[in-house]
Order: sequence, then structure tokens, then C-alpha cells
Amino acid sequence: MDDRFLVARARAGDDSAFAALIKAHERSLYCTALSLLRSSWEASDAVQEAFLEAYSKLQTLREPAKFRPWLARILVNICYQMLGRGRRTVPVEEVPERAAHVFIGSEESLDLMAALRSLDEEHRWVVALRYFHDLKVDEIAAIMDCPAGTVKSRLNRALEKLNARLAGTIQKEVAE
Amino acid sequence: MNCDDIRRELEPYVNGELDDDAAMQVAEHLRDCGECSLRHAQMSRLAQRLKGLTDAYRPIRDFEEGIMQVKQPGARHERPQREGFWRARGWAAAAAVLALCLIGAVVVASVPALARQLPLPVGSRLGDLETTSKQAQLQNHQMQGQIDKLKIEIKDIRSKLVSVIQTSKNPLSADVNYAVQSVVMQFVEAQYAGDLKKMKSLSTPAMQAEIDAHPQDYLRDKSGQVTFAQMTDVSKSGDTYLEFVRLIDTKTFNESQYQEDFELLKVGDRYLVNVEGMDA
Repeated sequence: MDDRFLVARARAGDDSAFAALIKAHERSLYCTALSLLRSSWEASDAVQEAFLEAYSKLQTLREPAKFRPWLARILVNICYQMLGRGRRTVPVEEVPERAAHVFIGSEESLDLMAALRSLDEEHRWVVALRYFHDLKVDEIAAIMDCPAGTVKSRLNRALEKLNARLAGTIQKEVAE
Repeated sequence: MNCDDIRRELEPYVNGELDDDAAMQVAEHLRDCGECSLRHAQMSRLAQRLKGLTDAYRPIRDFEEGIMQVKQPGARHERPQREGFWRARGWAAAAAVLALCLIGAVVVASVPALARQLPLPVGSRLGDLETTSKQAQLQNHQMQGQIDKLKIEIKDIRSKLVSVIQTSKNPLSADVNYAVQSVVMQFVEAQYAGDLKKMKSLSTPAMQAEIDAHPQDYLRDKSGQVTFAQMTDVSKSGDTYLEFVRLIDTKTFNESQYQEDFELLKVGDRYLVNVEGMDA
């Protein structure tokens, strides 16, 4: 369903509409957070914080059609804060919950995520925003506060590196 | 356009973001250039796999429910391989109680505060939030009882008056406490001074390597002034000395306190930081 419609309904107090927005975007947010943060638990925390913030600030969203980049920006800020906080530990009596997400993909997907996580932070950001959130170059540039040309060159460079780090599997797939 | 120009445009071409003229030029070039054509095929495949990556992770629980369950700030998670840090379970449990009590007011306040921020009445969901709030209040009350039984004294450590909470059943000597707490205090001050050299001089070789590998994880905002809100007395588990410090600074952590958890080893007659972790 269209984000604009869901945002309008959520703003009118329909919680099920916001739940639908969560379902539509949660995996994208999780993959982005996982590619940037240190653990799956941190990633799940970031996603939850992002949705809580989005929920409480939904009325401030000027253009409902821009919900996707708006939500991505919220997550980016949360990830920056979490990265800035340094390593974190858990009080002993807090039995770690299971991670909120389970991996159900192929071995190739695991390799791809590992390769992505090995890139420089600036390359991970652009790839995540481009491919997990399906954002345009201009939208990524606005979120990252850099020129569109920088985003384009980072994307090209990131994909080249990913291609190289996947040790020929992409080349093999293409050859087949 | 030559091959270099084309390759710069391949990524937006693959994602359908070029205008018609530019897309036409790229398409024509790809028809005639085997090498660029191969690159295009590889990039298309990679893009397809990246887009498919979001399907590789499935949420276990429903965020529709999770969104209403505001988690306690203390309930942060850590990588499983660092479990060894929590060997002194009894002591750490008391310190965890300390942490939760100090931030408890924030927990309780945040739930109804969030409800008030919601765009419109949230009906039954608000009831859930209030239940969560009451549970948090009850938990806080119980923890306050435990805190009341703990012994707190004001100590002068390196000319700073610090509230030290006794969490160990069998306290170590005053000399050991002072020595370990002094090292920890100097380490935190060095973190805020941006003084990696000083931090490393207070660390074991393993910790020095860790600081070299991830210096940003250990440095704090240099423009901020730090206050030592509370420290635990020193606890010992095996060869390891443990110390929790709750901190406030005037920059990054000015709205709420946070905690640093230290694990030290005795090397010769010195106590050196072997692990430092940050906690909400």
C-alpha cells in the first residue's frame, strides 16, 4: 500500500496504518543498521528506536510522500549516535533477549552482508540507503549532507570493492 | 562518451536513474563494448543481490507490538564473546541495580511522556503503556529497597569527592580500592582529554592494542567536562579487579548519566585496565 495513504491514516490515529508502515520498512531499516552497527542486537535496538521516534514525530513530516527518506534519516541519526557512544555492555541480570531478527537467507547473502560490513563506513552508508531503502542519489546526498557527485562516486567505488571482495562469485554467476 | 564516462554512469543506469538521452548513450555503448557490457552485467547482478538482502532477515517478533514496549535504557546488549566480563555475578548484579535505580526515574517518566507525544489518542495502546509504566514503577520500588540496604560513603579519591557504593560482601582493603579507583579515574580523565598516550600507559598490552585498533571507541568529547557521579567499591574475581563508574558530562551525555565498566589486572605493583566497556 502507498506510504502516503498509510501516513495519512496513521496521522489520523489509525495504529494499524503505522503497523503497516513498520512492516513495509522494517527489514530495510534492519539491514541498514546491521551493515553499520556492531551487532544484530544493536541493529534491532536502532530499528526500534527509529520507529518510536518516527511514531512520535509523524506530525512533523511535511511531505508524506517522502516518508521513506525521512525514516531513513531518523535511522541514520540514531546509528550515528550509537556509533558515537562506543562499545556498550549489558548489566548481568539482563538476560540477553534473542535478537529480534533471524537470518533466513542463503550462504551467498551472508557473504554479501559480511562483504558490505567490511567496507568503509561512508561506502556502507550509500550502499544501504541506495539498495535497502531504494533512495535516489539526490535523496542520499541530502541525508548524508554531501554533493550528489560524491554519492555517485562512492556508490561506484563501493560496488567495485564489493565485487572484488566477493572473490569472483558475481563474475561466476554472470558467466553462467 | 568513452569507457570511463560510461562506467561512471553504470550505477545510475542499472537503477534507472539516468534521463532518456544519457540512458540511450549508455545502452549504445554497451552494445559495442564487451568489457563495459560485462561490467554492466556484474553490476546488475550485484544490485539485484543487494536489493534481495532485505529478504534474508525475518523479524522474530512483531514490531507492531514491540513499538509500544519501551525498553529500559539499561537493557542494552553486548556481543556474546564478552560474557567473561560478568564473572563476578553477585557484585555486578548489585551494580546493575545501582544503574537501574539511578536511571529509574527516566524509565518511569518516559512511558507516559511518549504517550503524550503520540499524534492522537491511541486508545487501548495507552492502557498498555500505563501498565508498562506501573510495572516499571513497581520494579523501581523493589530495586530502591535493595539500594537502601547498600552502604554508600563519600570518599576523597585524587582530590575529588566521589560517592562510593559498597557492593562487595567482602570488601578489599582501602589501599587496593584507592589504587584501582585512581587508575580508573585517570583513565576516564584521559578519555575526556583525548590523551591516548595516557590511556595506554594505564592499560595492559591487550588493552593498548584494543585502543590502537579502535581509538574512537574510547575517546570522549574533549570539549566536555566530566563528573564522577558514583563509583562502586572494587570487587575481585580471580585475578581480575572490577569497577563500575557512573558519569555525567557537559556535552554528549549531559541529559542522563552513563556508565563505564572496568576490568583491571595487577601487573607487578600496578593495576592496569584490561577491559573498558560502556553502558547506558
